Amino acid sequence: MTRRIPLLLLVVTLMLPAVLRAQGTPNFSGTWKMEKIDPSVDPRNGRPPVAGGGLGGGGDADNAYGASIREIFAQAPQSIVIAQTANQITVQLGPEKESYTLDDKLMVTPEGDLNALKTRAHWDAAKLHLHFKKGMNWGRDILSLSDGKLVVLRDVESGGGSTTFTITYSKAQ
Amino acid sequence: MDKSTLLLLAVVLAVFGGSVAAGHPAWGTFTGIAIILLAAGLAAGTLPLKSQDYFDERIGPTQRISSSLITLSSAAIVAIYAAGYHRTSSAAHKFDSQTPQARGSTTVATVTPPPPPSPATKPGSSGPPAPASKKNNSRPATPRKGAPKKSGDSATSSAPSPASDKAAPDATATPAAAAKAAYKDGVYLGWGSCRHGDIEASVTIQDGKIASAVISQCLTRYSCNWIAPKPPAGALPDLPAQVVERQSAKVDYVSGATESSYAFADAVIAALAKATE
Repeated sequence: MTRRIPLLLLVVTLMLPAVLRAQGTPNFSGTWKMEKIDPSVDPRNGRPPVAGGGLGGGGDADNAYGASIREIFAQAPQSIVIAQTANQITVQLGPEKESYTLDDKLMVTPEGDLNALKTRAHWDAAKLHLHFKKGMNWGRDILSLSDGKLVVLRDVESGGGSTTFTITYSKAQ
Repeated sequence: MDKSTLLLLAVVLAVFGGSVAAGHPAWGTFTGIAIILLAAGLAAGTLPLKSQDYFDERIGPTQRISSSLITLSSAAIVAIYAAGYHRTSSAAHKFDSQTPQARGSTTVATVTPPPPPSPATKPGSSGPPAPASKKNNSRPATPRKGAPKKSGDSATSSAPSPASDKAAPDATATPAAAAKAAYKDGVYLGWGSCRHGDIEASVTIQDGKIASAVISQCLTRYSCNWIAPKPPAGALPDLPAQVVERQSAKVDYVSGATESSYAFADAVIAALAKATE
């Protein structure tokens, strides 16, 4: 018995990195509601960040394309619905769904469309980077989990405006 | 565990420590020395000492338990270190490959102001070539498909434009860095990002050298023609061509497209990092 204990400890020691590594890729799935945003105002104009776009770049147009831009490139989405599997993640902002493969490969939806939504996702340790572009609008979300809350660092460049906000979401009950 | 096994473990540790110290001079020196010291300690424990009899008398049968604990501790330390080493080795290689090419180094700090687009360069080829346009027009129309262009470097360095004056040190300084990084043949993709979007670079390595570099995906808000103008190139710098010319990710930064230049340089660095893995 005394001979087995050291062997067991050795096995546990060797397995520890694998366990820690498995814990390194969090799952962001769930429905998330905005809790707070930092900074609380848009530094460009001193106004609160808008929930639904308004930055221009096609987002002002009163059509499906404009509505899509307003949702996807919103400075401060009020809620996010995320569905994540081992190799894919879907982020829903309002009615707009963005799909990403978790392999740093570009995804074009729909394929061949000049104004297609182009998405790409890659891991940076426990943080997930989501890059998205549509028309002349570009954005990047860096997702991480902190104390059970979703923290999104959102860079958006749209319609001549370029903003960065850190948004904290809590899980909807 | 008997003494011969301990000794063998010590030798393996010493070799491992030596390889870490030699393979990663930037950060591995102290780590390698620490491992070698651990190996030395382990080896010393296996050697017959004069005081062995004294300890045997004093400690008796517990000596074996103590050795087991030491062995187990050593094995645990080595296991944790080896796991961490394996986990971070790819990042270490990446940093190693980036170090000579990192932006902000002394040679890259010579940011090239873009030559003002002169009307003489735009009409292009029919008129007598002005010195400023000679640099860009001397580039082959399809530099991405050819071998590294070396004759163009001399033409570039002799051009009197500010761009060429500052690009010249990079062009002469990079072969040593390029020769150091032995790239594996193949086509490698890498992404770079900036506030204006993403750029994917595709770098082709042939015979260990950068044979071509192109922007395979331009997802920036603005056109990538600012950093990779289509022929005739005119006065704007052609960053993909610079990668081939300089055999390095050290490219000039284009005023008015600085962020995109960063993104492109990062994309090439990422691609070259894959070529050295």
